[in-house]
Amino acid sequence: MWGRPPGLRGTPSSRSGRQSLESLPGRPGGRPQTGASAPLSWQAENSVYPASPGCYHQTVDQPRTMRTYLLVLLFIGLRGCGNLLLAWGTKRLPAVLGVHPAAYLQSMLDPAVAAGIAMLIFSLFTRMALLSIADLSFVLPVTAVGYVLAAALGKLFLHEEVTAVRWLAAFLIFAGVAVVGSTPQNTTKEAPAK
Amino acid sequence: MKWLLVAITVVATALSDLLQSYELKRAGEQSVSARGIARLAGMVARRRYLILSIVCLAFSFFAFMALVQSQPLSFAVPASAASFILETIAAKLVLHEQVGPRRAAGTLLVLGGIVLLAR
Repeated sequence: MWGRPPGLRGTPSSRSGRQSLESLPGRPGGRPQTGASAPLSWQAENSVYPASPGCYHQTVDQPRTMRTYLLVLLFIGLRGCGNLLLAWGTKRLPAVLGVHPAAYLQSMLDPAVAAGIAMLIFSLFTRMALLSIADLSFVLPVTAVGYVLAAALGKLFLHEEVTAVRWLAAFLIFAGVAVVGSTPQNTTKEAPAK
Repeated sequence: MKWLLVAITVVATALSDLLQSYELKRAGEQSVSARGIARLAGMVARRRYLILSIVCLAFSFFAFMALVQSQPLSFAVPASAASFILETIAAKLVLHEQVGPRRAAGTLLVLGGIVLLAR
């Protein structure tokens, strides 16, 4: 893609060449040689080349923020799909689940139920990882988007109708999540004690 | 009876979350890679508070199941969402998290949404 790596453009020879060009009274028109030093340095800082490691370290919180939201998405997706699989699998079963443990154990042999349970267990670990980096009072409201997802999945697969009140409810939840999301994710200052 | 089930669900959920949050903050940052999951599973098997939190989670799960079997979802979901308020207050008082006006307002918006969603 790049003709030459940006770092190579600032070699002493080219710089001296540019200086000699700039010292000329009549600059060659049309060629972007005039203000070349500023764009070149900008280019070098923002290029994909690891020429300037500074740009990766300027915002320390950004990777953690991303990580938190990725975990939130993973958790919501896993729990939503897990619950759906569980509901679908148990509804498919001929026997009604009673208080007998045998019926529960038998239902776990169903592939959909087993996959649902596995997803729910994985979602529990995801939530633990989430709680290890973010406040409980942050995780709770933010993961409430899952309620909206459950309603949406219910509409998609179980063909429930979505009333105006439910749309309002979804809007309230998203608004609340946006407000909570604007607060710091981890406010407990204490360092991890060993 | 139904309020007893609601109470068990709410208190057990809150206890489980508080114990998990406290213990995992102490344990430091965890990941969900294969190794991270194995590490978390090991912690759940060894750390006393995490074992207790799983027990509480089981209580809340079965209490909620019993609630859903006897009551409509439109009652069970908003009633058990009361754990939101209890947990947020406990997070502030017990875990010393900073719950400012903005976070409190957002949490209340979410709570209102959950109550409406279940109607």
